[in-house]
Amino acid sequence: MKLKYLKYTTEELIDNKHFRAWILHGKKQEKWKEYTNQFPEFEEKVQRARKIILFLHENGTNSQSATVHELWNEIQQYNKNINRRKQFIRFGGYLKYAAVVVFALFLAGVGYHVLRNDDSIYHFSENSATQGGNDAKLVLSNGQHIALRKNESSIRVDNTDDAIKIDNDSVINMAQLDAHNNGQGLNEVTIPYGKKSYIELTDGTKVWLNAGSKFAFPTRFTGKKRLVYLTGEAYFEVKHNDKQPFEVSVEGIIVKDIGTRFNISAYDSDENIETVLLDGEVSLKKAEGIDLLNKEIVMMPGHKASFDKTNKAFKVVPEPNADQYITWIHGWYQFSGQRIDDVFKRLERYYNVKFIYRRPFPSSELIAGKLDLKDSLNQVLTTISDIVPIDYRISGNQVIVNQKVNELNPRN
Amino acid sequence: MTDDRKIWNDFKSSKDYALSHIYHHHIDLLFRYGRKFSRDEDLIKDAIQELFFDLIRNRESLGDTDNIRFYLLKSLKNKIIKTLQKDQKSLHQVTEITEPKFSSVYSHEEDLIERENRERNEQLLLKGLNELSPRLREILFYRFTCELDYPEICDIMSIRYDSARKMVFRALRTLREVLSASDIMLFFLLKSC
Repeated sequence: MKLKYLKYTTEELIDNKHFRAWILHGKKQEKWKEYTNQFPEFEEKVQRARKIILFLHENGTNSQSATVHELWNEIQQYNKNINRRKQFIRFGGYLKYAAVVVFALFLAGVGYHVLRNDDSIYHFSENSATQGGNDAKLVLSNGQHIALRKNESSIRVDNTDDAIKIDNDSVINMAQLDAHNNGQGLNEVTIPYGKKSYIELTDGTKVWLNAGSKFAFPTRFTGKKRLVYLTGEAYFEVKHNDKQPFEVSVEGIIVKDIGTRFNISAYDSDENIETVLLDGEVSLKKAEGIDLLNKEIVMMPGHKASFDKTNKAFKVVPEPNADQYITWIHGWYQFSGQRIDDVFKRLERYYNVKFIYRRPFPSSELIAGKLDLKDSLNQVLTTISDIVPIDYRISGNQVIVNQKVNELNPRN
Repeated sequence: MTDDRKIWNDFKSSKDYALSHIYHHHIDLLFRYGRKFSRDEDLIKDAIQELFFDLIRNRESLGDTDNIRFYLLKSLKNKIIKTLQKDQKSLHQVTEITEPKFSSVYSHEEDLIERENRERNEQLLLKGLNELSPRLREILFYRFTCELDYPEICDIMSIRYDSARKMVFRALRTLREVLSASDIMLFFLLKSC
């Protein structure tokens, strides 16, 4: 830094971009501090300039958050309408159902159970088993537990050998398994935080299962459709079969493949179930509810469908970065325009840790980047703290995050 | 500012995060800015809404910018002026800042003395600010609240570079004097304790 700043008047300091960058954002803190420590007169000017800068920076009333929110909703709605006009997503028309609504609602009271779609009803054996401390395991339809010891285990249902192979060792004889329950039962894979798994199903469909997920599948697909169940996140490469469609049932919705690569993220802790389509075509519908009203939404490649679990509504938007959603299968995590707390949520799953926020934290800040998940958590956090003003401390399986404190910034 | 360019381009290519980013990063400032022209909150809200609707509708044909804030401020100013002229009200007739509330994120953590100190400073500066002409207040807002460059300020206020600088320094001097006067007073107060 240049000595010329020492000769600056208070006004000149205030008007100086670099000086303001220090006061407001803590840029080049050490160098400025050197001067203020050395020259008390300069320090006096700095203090005065600082008060004025902070005052002018904050000046004005804050907006009513309700108004801001309301306005945002209107803008978002408008955006949606414009997009819908431009998109080639086929939505079933609303109006043609209008006449049926009254009738159907009446029916709902009477024959609700009859008309319900039963595919959604599957309960994983242990509901909250995805938290830390649990081991990865496969529970077979006959109740047998098999531990998955590797961090990235693979499970293959091999038709030619008639066996389920784990990490390429033949373990389970399928004929025996079928004899036990007529081939009807489901096998369940549980992958805790910090681990991953790859599963090849009997029809050749490939499934990558991400940390903190559960997946249930039959040994053989015998019915009219190939139905599997998921909570958590998985990426699918489906072997298409017109006669026997592939369906994934995820907490309240059903994703049906029409020849496809797609990624589903449906963690309990997330508000939305996200389906990203890379290739082919999938259709989505709510699992519960009355079939008449249950519109099927057909997605095109390069789009993302979010299902809001509270409002039970779908929203489909173009996703130019669709590829980024499956980078996790290769062991890295790429994102753009992601909320920082969402990024941390992901890291919690990969590293099996818990983030704790202290003080006001810029959780809604959007960041973009690419993280190598083979790096240690410490390395990953160092990378993040280069772009976001945070301090962090890892203690055990907790990560304590603070907004970076700028010694001089809190106003006095 | 390259960030702005990327976000703007993402917005133009219909990435939804970009719209959200642009809105939430600038909305407070836009409201504050709007209040400099009118106290009619609905008018401001409508103008901002119209501004965003325009952006969304014309997103493909928008020009480039590497300063979104400036782009938004300038567009909003045009919108509001148009509305005001329609309503037969002249610009700057009703101006600004009656009683700003200085809510602060840190307030609950500060100790009492610190807060009183800060509030005292803010009261003083506010008094100083109110002594300034609307034009000077406007330029301070652009320069230090919106962090615009001089060329941008000249553009938005239709003034020349040297007069912009002169105005900024004149306004800052007033504020600085208000503060120094009070420091001397405080010094005596402390001595007499």
